[in-house]
Amino acid sequence: MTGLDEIVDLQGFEKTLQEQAAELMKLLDKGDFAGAMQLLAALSEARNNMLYQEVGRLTRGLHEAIKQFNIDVEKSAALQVAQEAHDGDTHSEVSNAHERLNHVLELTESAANKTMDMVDASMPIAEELGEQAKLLRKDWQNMADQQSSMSELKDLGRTTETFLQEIEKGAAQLQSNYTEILLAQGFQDITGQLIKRVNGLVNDVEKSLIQLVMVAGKVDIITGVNREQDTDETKLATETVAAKEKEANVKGHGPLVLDEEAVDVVSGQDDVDDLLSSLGF
Amino acid sequence: MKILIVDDFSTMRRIIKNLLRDLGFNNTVEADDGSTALPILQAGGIDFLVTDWNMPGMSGLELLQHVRSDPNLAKLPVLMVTAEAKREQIILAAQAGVNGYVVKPFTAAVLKEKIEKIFERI
Repeated sequence: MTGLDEIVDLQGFEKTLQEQAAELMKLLDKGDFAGAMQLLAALSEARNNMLYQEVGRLTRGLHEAIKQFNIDVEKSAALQVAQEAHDGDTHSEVSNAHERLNHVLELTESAANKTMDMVDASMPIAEELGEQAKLLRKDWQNMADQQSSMSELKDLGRTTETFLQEIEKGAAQLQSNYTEILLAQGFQDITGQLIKRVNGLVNDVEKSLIQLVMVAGKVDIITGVNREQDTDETKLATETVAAKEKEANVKGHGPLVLDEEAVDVVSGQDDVDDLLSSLGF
Repeated sequence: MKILIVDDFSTMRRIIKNLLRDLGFNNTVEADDGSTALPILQAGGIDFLVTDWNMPGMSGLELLQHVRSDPNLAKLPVLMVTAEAKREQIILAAQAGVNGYVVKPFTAAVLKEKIEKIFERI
């Protein structure tokens, strides 16, 4: 049979199918049933070969994806059952991503706490210096208003000197606290890098999944499965999405990350206030 | 005036606690989600509830619904401080009987304004 063994892709198969269908009609018109049956058998074989080829590709794609992301299937399954398996050796990309995100959580928490510790430590210094300055200013005012003795002037001089020392000390302390606050912002750099890596992994996984879906789509065509007609499945999926959305409205969506997500969302406190006042608040 | 602050992030609880202290409210207690907050509320003595929405376990909205359905707590003023910003959700919170709604990120001035507004009405 002509060229049926060499068909390599779906388009080629389609073209050959059209040609052979015409050939089949011709044979049937001629009354050559044996020839027609042979042609049918050859077509069916070609279809099977295509199917094996595409299923093979699908399997290979899955293997590649698993290899690429270094997902240890057995370990992942064990991890899900045991909910822990933190032994530190052979980590898959995905469990690395988990760890990275956990690290981001720790870093942001510690930076926020560090900053607030430093603010807590700095507030009283500023407050104390302010109080002392107020008292000292009153002393100076009194001195200007009335005749002061030499010893009173000396006292004021000493108090002023002590205050200046306090300012020096306080300023040094504040400076060091501010440096600590500045350094604590370094979390942004580290967490940014970690998140970028996880983001990259998510992208790769998405691309691989799309590829797999495309390969699987070919298998569907060859086996004659029409996904669009699987309305029950689609309906179920839509219902699940709707149910999840409803649940999220009660449980909460979490902070918005992308602008694209911002559908039917308030743009800030003013918007919230407007909405609430329209509701009679 | 004893205030209960409910948020699953300790840093956010700390920020709110500090802001409240600056506003002159020194007596605060904390809980990390609705299910730990509810027993504290039921034990009595809380005059004001500040809660996040999105928390593991019981969410802030569910907590609010529990509060409003409990005759002993029904009149407790509740301020929601949350990153949840969907109109539908704000309406849900209003229907559930929230007294004020502040979206994160927020400023000290906004928090102050909303708290004062709530107390004006009581």
